[in-house]
Amino acid sequence: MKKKYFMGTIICLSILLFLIINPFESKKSNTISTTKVSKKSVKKGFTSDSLKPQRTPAATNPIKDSSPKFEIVSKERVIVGEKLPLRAVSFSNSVNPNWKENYKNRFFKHIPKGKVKDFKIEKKKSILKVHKKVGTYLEHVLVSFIRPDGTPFSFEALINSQTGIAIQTWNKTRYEFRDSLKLDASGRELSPLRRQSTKL
Amino acid sequence: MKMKDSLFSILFLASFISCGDYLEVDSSSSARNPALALSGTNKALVYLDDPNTLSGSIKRRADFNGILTEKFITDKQTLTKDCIFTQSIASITSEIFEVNSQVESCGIILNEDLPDATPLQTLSKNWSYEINSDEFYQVNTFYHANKIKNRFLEALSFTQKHVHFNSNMTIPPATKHNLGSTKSFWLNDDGEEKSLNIFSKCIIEFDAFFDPAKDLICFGILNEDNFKMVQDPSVIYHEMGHVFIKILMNQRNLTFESSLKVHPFESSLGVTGRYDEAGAINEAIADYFSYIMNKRPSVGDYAIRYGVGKPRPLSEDEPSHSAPVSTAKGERLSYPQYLYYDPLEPDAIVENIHNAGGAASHYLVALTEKFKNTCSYPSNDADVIHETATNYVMLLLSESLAEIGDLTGKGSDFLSFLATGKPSLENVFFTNLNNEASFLWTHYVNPPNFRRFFQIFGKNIIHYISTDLCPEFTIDASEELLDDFGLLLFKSYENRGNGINTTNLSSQSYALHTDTKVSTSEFANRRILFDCLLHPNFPSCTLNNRVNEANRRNSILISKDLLALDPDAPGTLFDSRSVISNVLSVLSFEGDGVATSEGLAGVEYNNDNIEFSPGEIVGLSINLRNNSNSIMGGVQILANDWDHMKLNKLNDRFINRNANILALDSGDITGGIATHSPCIFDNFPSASEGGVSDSVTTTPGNCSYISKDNSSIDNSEVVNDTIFPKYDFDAPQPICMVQFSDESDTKWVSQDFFRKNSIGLEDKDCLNNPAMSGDQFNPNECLIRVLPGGVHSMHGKIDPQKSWIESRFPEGTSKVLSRGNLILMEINKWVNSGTTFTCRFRARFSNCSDCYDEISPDPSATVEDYSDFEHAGNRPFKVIDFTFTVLD
Repeated sequence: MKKKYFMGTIICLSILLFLIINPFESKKSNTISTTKVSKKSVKKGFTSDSLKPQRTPAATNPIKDSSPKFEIVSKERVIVGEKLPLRAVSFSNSVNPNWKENYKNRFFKHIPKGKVKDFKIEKKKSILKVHKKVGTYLEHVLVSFIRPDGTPFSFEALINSQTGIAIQTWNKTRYEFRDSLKLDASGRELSPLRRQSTKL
Repeated sequence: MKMKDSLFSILFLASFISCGDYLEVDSSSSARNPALALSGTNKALVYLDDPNTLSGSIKRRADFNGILTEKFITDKQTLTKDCIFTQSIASITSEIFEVNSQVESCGIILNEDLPDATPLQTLSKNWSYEINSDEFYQVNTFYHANKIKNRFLEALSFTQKHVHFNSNMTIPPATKHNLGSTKSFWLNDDGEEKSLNIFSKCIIEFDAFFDPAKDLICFGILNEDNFKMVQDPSVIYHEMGHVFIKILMNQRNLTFESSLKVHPFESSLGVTGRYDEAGAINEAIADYFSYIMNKRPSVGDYAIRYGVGKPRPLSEDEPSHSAPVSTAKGERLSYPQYLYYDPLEPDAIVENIHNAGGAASHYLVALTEKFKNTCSYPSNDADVIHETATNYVMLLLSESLAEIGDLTGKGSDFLSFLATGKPSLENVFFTNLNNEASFLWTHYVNPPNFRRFFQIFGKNIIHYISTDLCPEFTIDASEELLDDFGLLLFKSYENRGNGINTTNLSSQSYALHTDTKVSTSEFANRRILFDCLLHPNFPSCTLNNRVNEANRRNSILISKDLLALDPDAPGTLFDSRSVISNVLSVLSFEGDGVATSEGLAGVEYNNDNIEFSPGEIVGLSINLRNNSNSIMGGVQILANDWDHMKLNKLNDRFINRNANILALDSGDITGGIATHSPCIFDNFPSASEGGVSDSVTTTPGNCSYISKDNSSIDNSEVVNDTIFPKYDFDAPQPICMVQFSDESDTKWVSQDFFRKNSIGLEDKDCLNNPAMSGDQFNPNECLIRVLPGGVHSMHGKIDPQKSWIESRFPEGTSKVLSRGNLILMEINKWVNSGTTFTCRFRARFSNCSDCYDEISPDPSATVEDYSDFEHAGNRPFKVIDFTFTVLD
């Protein structure tokens, strides 16, 4: 019982903390990138609860980074794209030291536990991509693991340094004879009537 | 471990003994043990071909006794060698000389793919080991890998020298000029040299793979019959072929200064884990490397035969064919008829990249044979002729793959920053749209299908073969051969790339679709462009060679108007929890893992009722129908964002998100929140249904004006270090719109309009909300979102007057789709049951007559392909309006 109460408090505090520090919409504690929008001003903005349909709330909080800590751009970060002095660059994100963990959590979200072995994220380099005077912190990584059928697989990925979301993946392992996933489509045809009835 | 150490000590001591002994070995002892005689020679006994070919009989278990040949291996301590590339450069006096560049130990052979794998070391400069031992196979793998690596580097040297110094220079060469000092001739990581690791005995059952992220090759084994993939050198050549394709495709993407790059991506030919034509071409080229080395038009005479019963044929005359094909005209293995053909099972209908690559591999071999029979050679030696003819094909492959894989958008050194040093030319692009969108363009939006690849390949034949190295092989001969294989799928060759706006040429400047003006003086050393620009009526001015239509006999082109959604069976829907969970798992396993909108859509909402239900993640396979009388090949359905919505007010561009609304209210920023209306395509939606249209193609924001750079969200509005995102005028938009009814009207509107005015969803309740997407948040995918990793589907071919499902799964066969046939979509849980959506998919196919250029009623009129930017719009595609209603 005590444990449940404790967990509940933690969840509530996490939600509260997120409301105060939304990694994208709220003020950033970084000298390079700060936003002007405060918690107070958000309250004045667009709300539409009255119009919203009644639904069971989501079981999971979509935001993982409840308490991100930011770091100033490192000298080891490779700058790609436009060559501008940093003072002329605005930043679309910040660096969350937990980006690797966030990426890992997202990777495993759709994979049953224990299915993947030897999962590794090897950082190749940190990047600051500058495009149209906006800088985005990114991480270039090599991801490798052993799949459930025992075959090794790897790829490279470019990951958002704040959210841990993969922006692009490439250089994926190319097997000669492994079949891709097969899906039995019998009885899953959409009926013609359903589609036609919806046309204006 | 101790035992291992002891063994090593013994071997170490033995090495001294043998070092002292090797010259003393007499002939009688070497006869008893021939390997002993090789001490001190750095040689080994190797198999020069597979056991079946060497012995002349078909064997289940490889037996190399008595068929081995003594060959030099390496003088290094381990099984490795340096890669030496000879590059031609010109002196100030225009004298051409050669310079060698080197990557030390560019390939290393190892046994098993284990963390503690160490390279085999020679103890007495003797690489001979007991037949069938692990060491024996490592040495043999090295021998063949090194042999083909040397052949590849020789051919690349020939290519670099020819296209940059000996050719007529009628088009800018795509092969990089400076392959040497940039080390682009080999595997490379941002200018850092890389070694290729090759494992001869991987614990993967009857398979082999190339891992381009780690740059390693693994060859599998089977416990039965002591089978090993490396027992067949053609398999080694094939896998090495994949390595060379990576090198050739990315030669233009590697620079000695990583800061010149826009992103670290590398190109690949084909999307892993899916059926696509780029993948089929990749397999065909890899097979061709085996032909280069073996001079034999079949692959896997031992290994593939062991696995599936027959080797893979590369010529119609091979006995492993089961279809009625021959090298005679009209009987070739042609596209798209044989896309599903499996030589082993002629009646099977299989979407498989190895089978689909048949037309391409057979064409490459037939082309080489034509070169051998028609071109002039300095010698009658068959080996010299084979080497020269395959050099020509390698040149064509290098040129074609370098252009296709170019992520800089330049397509050649011509007008590149490195070549010119001029920042003013930074935004001049000739291929793959631009350096920002190039990855998207060349892998998804305009990938190298059979049409694109062979158009570029054909262009290079004109400029480097028919008017250069081998005039005997005329342009007509080239077109006839392409047509024999059904590969004459284009009407013009697009000599000048797809970035140039030829409608805006003038004697003074040269306009690109980006509106960048380039002085003609920049073209002075590129004859074709220089002549054409300064002298538009110059006789030799050919900006764009047109195909001689008389040569098109087998390559049938079909109008996209004959492709349509099947009205009787519009699609197949997967919405069961287990299936979609499995699909999402597989996406992760294949490196396409997607970030789903947690809490708003997920498999926990999937109810398996074969409906689009709130909160579900669904897999949709759209079923298109071919209403023509010919086969359609390479049908691709795209679900990525495109320029199909009109910005209602040009000054109101801010994205509808809380921060923007507040800043507009407070006056921090000026303008308004953007709203969009759907453009009318094929009369849908009509004006009364909310559709809009216009005719001015020069006004950004218009339906008639297509985004020139595919730029979506403009983050340039910054106040007090805060970014206030707004749309670009012609921002590509998510494909689904919603039916909206009020008291007077029923219209099709944007998702943003609907979420705001109908169900009142806040930003955080949108799919891919700001917490996930940050400044890239687009409320026009608030309700229905196509998931990255599932934004396009491929369908091999559609038979005449049939749907894809009918073609792929004839009556009586089970309908088993693959994940590459699916588009993946999230449905927001807040969408009310009864809400109707129309999603505007775009479809095209490879043998389409009007997907790549406009049909002109005048056959003598200039034909030009659509420029790259047009692929952000509707014109190259058939727009497929797919309507569905969300139901609980």
